[in-house]
Amino acid sequence: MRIKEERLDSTEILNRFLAGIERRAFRMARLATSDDDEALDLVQDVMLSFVSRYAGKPEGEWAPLFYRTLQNRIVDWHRRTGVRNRFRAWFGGGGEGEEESDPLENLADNSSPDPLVSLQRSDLGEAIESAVRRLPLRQRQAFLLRAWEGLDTAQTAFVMGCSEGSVKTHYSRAIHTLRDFLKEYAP
Amino acid sequence: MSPEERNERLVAMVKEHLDTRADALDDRTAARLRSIRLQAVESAEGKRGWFRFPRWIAVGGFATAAVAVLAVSLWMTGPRRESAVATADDIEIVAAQEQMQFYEDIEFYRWLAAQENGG
Repeated sequence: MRIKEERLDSTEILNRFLAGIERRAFRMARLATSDDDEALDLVQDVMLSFVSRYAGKPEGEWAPLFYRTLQNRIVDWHRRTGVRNRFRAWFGGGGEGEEESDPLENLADNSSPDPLVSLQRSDLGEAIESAVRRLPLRQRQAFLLRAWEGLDTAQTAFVMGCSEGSVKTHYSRAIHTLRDFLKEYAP
Repeated sequence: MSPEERNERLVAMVKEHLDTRADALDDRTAARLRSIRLQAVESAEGKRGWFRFPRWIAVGGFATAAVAVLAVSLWMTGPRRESAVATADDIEIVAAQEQMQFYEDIEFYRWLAAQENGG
């Protein structure tokens, strides 16, 4: 009976951990892929792989392990997409500027009552969204993990599979690139 | 404003945007994420059911296996009994059926020779 209760507890802890992380994981995957379905597939793959390999690890180690799995999958996705795009280019498929299209950009924002405020927020939001998406992959990883997820340098280095010095370099470059992209809006 | 402060403000602005976007996911995406999570948690439950034994069973099983391996290896490397057949010459003697009979009757032949010598 007690073993069953402990199992339920650990399942509930795992459920809470994944619930707390799923939206950010999706957003990271979405920023990398620019596609909702691709991002959801990535998150599904990552969650199943994480649970099968690391669910037995101590809870304190879960976040870096989860993000390491996610970042590896994102890098794999980039490689696959790169190869696919090269094949398309050779065989003449794919339209010009196809990668840049983002369905979110065409959606109207009806949530704000003030059209002017809404427009300003929307502009800023889109500018930030676009700036983060345009960051080089390693810079984006370093920025999202350090600034958004709050991982320290050592944890980020573990997740990215590089040295702490590289993390600091990527992070610093990411800030400069973002400042460049957001010149108009930057404080 | 120092460059560090400007950087901190920039980071805070981007973080706020990312948080807002993460909180404002559409219903379809949120539902799919929930379903993916439940599927993952379910797979963890299944995995535990099959593979998670209490630790004392795993430790006890390992200790038993180790003792068994040790016992078998000691038994295999223990002192061997002396073989009844020591050399190749002995093997030849044992293998030859006629010679065996000769050795079995050797006492008779000795007695016969003694009789002949005496007579």
